Formats: sequence, C-alpha cells, structure tokens
Amino acid sequence: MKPFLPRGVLAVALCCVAVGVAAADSGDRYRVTTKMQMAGMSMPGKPVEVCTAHANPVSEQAIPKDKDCDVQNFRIEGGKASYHVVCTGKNAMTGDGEMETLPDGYRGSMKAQVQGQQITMSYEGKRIGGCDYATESPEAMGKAMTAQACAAQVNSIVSHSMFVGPKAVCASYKTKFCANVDRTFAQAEDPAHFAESDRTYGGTAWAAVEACGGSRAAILAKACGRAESNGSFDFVGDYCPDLAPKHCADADPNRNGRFLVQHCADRARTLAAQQCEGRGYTAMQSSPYRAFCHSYAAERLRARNTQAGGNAPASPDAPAAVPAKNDEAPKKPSFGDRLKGLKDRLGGG
Amino acid sequence: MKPCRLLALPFALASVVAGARVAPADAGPVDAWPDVAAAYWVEIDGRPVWAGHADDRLPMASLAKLMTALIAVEAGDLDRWTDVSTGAATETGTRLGLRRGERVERRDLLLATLVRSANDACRALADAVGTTIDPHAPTAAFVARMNARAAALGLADTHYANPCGHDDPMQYTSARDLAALSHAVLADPTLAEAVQRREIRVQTAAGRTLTARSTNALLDGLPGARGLKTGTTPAAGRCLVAVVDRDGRRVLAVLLHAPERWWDGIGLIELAFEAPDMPATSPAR
Repeated sequence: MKPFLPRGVLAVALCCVAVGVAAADSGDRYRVTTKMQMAGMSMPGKPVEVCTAHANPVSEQAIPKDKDCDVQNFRIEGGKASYHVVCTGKNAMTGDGEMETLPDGYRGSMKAQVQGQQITMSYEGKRIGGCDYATESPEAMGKAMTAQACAAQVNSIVSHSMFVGPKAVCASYKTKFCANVDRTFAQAEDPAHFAESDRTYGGTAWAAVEACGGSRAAILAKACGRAESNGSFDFVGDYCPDLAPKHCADADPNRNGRFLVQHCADRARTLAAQQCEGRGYTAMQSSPYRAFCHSYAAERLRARNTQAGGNAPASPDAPAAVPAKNDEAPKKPSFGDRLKGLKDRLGGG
Repeated sequence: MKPCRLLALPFALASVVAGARVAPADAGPVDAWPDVAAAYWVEIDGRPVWAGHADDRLPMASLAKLMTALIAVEAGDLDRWTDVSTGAATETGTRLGLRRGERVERRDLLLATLVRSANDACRALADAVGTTIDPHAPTAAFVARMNARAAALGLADTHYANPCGHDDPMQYTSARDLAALSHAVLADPTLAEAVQRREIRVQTAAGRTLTARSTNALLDGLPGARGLKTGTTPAAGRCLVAVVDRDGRRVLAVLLHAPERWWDGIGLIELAFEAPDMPATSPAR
C-alpha cells in the first residue's frame, strides 16, 4: 500500500487562513499547533509560526486542500463552519471537517479517509501579533526559498531537472540555465573536452544538453571527426569504435598504444612481438615503444586473467608457490640478468 | 633479473574480455588478478579496488625501509651529521658505498635509503636515530621503535626484525599493511618528495661525492609515477609499492613476491586508471 503522506494536509493546515485576498504588507502572525491521529497513534506536531493574510479564518477558502480537491456542503453558522472534501489523484482522500473562529485565533479538525485508513487531523492557531504578509507568508517565503535555491543551482548542470522538464520547479530560470549549459559544452566538440565532460558529469550532463535542445550525438559526431583528424585515436576507440578499423595503420604506437591494443589486434600483435615481448622493463627505458608496451602490459594482464578464469582464487601458498605464468620454456638468462640475480640473492634492492 | 617475458597475447580473447570487476564504492576489494603476486593491493584515490591475499604475512625485503624512513623523519635532525658505523659499512646487498667512519648527513642517508635502497645508508640512518634511544644497542632500539610505530599505525600483520629488510622469519608484513604504511609515508612532504627522485648525489663531510640512481624503474618511464619503493630478497621475491598520479587521480599498487613486478605493476596501474572511468558509452571489452 502506498504510504499516506500527511505533508499536504499539514501544509494546508498551516496555510488554511492564508488563502483568500491578501492585505498588502500586513497580516496576522499565528502560532499554529497541529495534531494527527491515525491507527490509534497520536502524533503531535511542533508548533510553528505562520504569517497569514487578514482574512476570516472560517471560510471556504480556508479549508485545507489542494488543487485536486473539491469542497462540498460547505455550511457556515456564526463563527463555525462544516464541510465535506473529496480529493482525487496522487493524494486521493475524502474527509469531513469543521472549523471555528476563536477570540484570539482559530481552530479546526478534519476526519479523513486515506487509502482505507482514518486519520484525524486537528489544528489550532493562536494570534501572537502582526506581520508583513507580502514577505512573510508561507507562500512568499516558499517562493523566496525556491528563488534562492534556483539561483544557487542555476550553474549546476547536474541539477537540470530543476530547470528543464515537466517537474522543473525553476522553469523561469531555464533560459539562464541552458545558456550556462551551452557555454559549458561549447568546447565539447573538442575530443579532450568531450571526454573530460563525460568523466566529470557522466550521463547527467548529456541529459542537460538534450533537455536544453542540444544533441549529444551531434556533438559526439563532431568530436569524433576532430579526433580522427588530429590523431586522438584513443578517443576514437573509446567513443566512436566503429571508426577505429580505418585508423589501425596510421596510429602512432606511442601516442595511441591503448587504441592499438584494444582495437587493432593484428598490428598490436606484430608490434608487441617486435618491441615488447621478451624484454625486461628496465631495458625499455630508451625504447620509443615504451608507452605502447605499457598498454600492452595492461591488455596482456587482462587476457591472462581471463584465460585463468577471472576471479579464480590465488594460490594459497606464499612465495614459493607463485603460479607460473608462462608455458614456454624459460629463456637462458643474460649476463646482466645473472648479475642481477646474484645481487638479489645478496639481498636489498 | 630474470627477463620479463611478455607472453604472446591472445588478442582474439582480448577483444571479448569484459573489464575486470572493480569493487563497488561500499564493498571490499576484489581479487581480480590472482596471479600477479603472492599478495597484492590496488587502490584508486584511496579506495581499495583489487586485492589478493591482502592479509597474508610475507617477507617484505627493502619495503621495510619505508618504515625506517618514516621513523627517521619523525625523529627529526635530518641536517645532523652522523658517523658511518662498522655495522653499516659492512651491510650486504644494495649499497651506496659508504665507508666506516665517514660522516654523512642524516638527510642524505634518508635519500639513499629510499631512492637507492642502499643497505649501508639504511643501517647508518637507523643506528644514528637508534643511538638517541639506546646508545648501547642502537639497531635494536630502532627496530623496537619500528614495531611500536607499526602498532600505532594499526599494522596488525607487520613485524620488523631489522631496519633494512633482510630476510628473517620475524620480518614480515602484509599488502594491506604496506598500503597503510605508504599513506603515512606519502603524508610526509619530505618523504613524498624523496621517493620521487630518480637520482641522488651525496657528499660526505670529507668531500667524497657518491651518486646513485633510483631502483624504481617506473620513475623513468611511467607517466605520473610518484614512487614509492622497490624490494627484492630471495624470500620476498620481487616487491613493489607504486604510486601514480594522473589527472588528479591517484593509484597505489602494492605487490609482494611478484615475478613480473614491473610489467604486471604497470598493467595493474593502467587498468586501474581505466576501470572506474570507462566512458559509459564505450563498448565493453
């Protein structure tokens, strides 16, 4: 069962006398206490102060309800009123309520049926002074807080749902928000910038771009074009792999090592056999293929791991039982290797 | 060193291999690469992602010098001159070439200990600090402080029997503990700078100049390498603690008894930088 959300009822209790015609720059400040009972439990609310317009607190406009509610049988006798309310939609409910004017405020209650449960909500407002309704009413304060939040988040791309879309609470800021999105992604046709944006914001960024009328696909197509023309083939491999095969021949092993290893198996195999395999790392210091061999080492480790069955448990035996990783017969160590081995045996290093 | 042979890569497999699992942010590390070392530990920005046998107690070789250096820096007086003891001058294994009775600044001993992994410098440094604790048994006093510091850091699977990493049944650590110790080392600016040096130049009080290159080959070729320490002994095998910074992100890799510590260390580091940031739209490999 969907949980009952008393928030709406509470909110209208606090605001119940705020509806109606607001007197400019003046109002009554009430301390409002609410209490809710449901399923045998009583839940007293914390008293809050609320600024309301000068208005008769016992009126049809003062009935706690939202836009999906219909008030029926509203009757008023002297300072007391009674009514029936039917709400539909997300917060569907029916209820019978009453309210009355007190010498220093108002009180009221409503018995509601919400999703099969009976809930009794009572409230009492005691006037404690005057206030400036224009700025201190719940609506005004809510609007001010919303405006503050919108202004604070307008540069936050990840907050796009606040500014764009059907649930945007800051719809009036959309132009400003989208201008910021446009500014941020103006450089995204540059592959490095595109990748950085992708890393920094992820899918949220592109949702913002799309919401503001842009197109990730269009930006990416341009970024891929630039990457192809300036040799950023790692980007091509990552973001536009369909284009990768035609660049295998012209990719620079040192600059595009990862690209070659991941997308150009034939050339990478040949290069690795020529430049990496059988070479000790310390002998690679001056090799122009060092960066390629770094990428190759990563891919080799990945492939070796897959061959071994992924997350297979490691050998429980410590040092002496480190698994052999090479089916080939061991090569005869070079003089330098033997010298190093001797040094290793002596300790240190 | 045995030649590090890169196996013929099964590229056909590589094209269909899914990326190694990375531990979710709230989970422990995954043993994704079980054959790289007897024990290993990989962190990305301080978050452990891959580890195997992380709490096994294993020989540490010269990775012990990380603790030696930490204690030396914490003891201060790095500009103080110290005499090279007979014990230091006769240390075996990798050496700077110090002679008995030579006077060297503690700071230079520290650099030679970390950069060159020089056992003579390491012992001289330990004895210099140990003398201030117990002049009659400086080395033992220093080792006691190493163990106390390990306990203070919460290194539950670490124990030292000597300051420089010689094999000893009571000289052991774990990959997890080494990662924690590495964080303590990197938190000290003096040490964080020292472990990045590719070479050092030491001048004795008598004016003799000694130069040495780092034992950490990654510093010469791996983009973003920031250290940290190598170690090799017959019992410990080839060990490595590597730290690499790229684009504001840091990968720490600890490998104990890793037959191909360089290539596999590089492989782990490259994969670590790739793994968490693989673009969502890129194809699974």
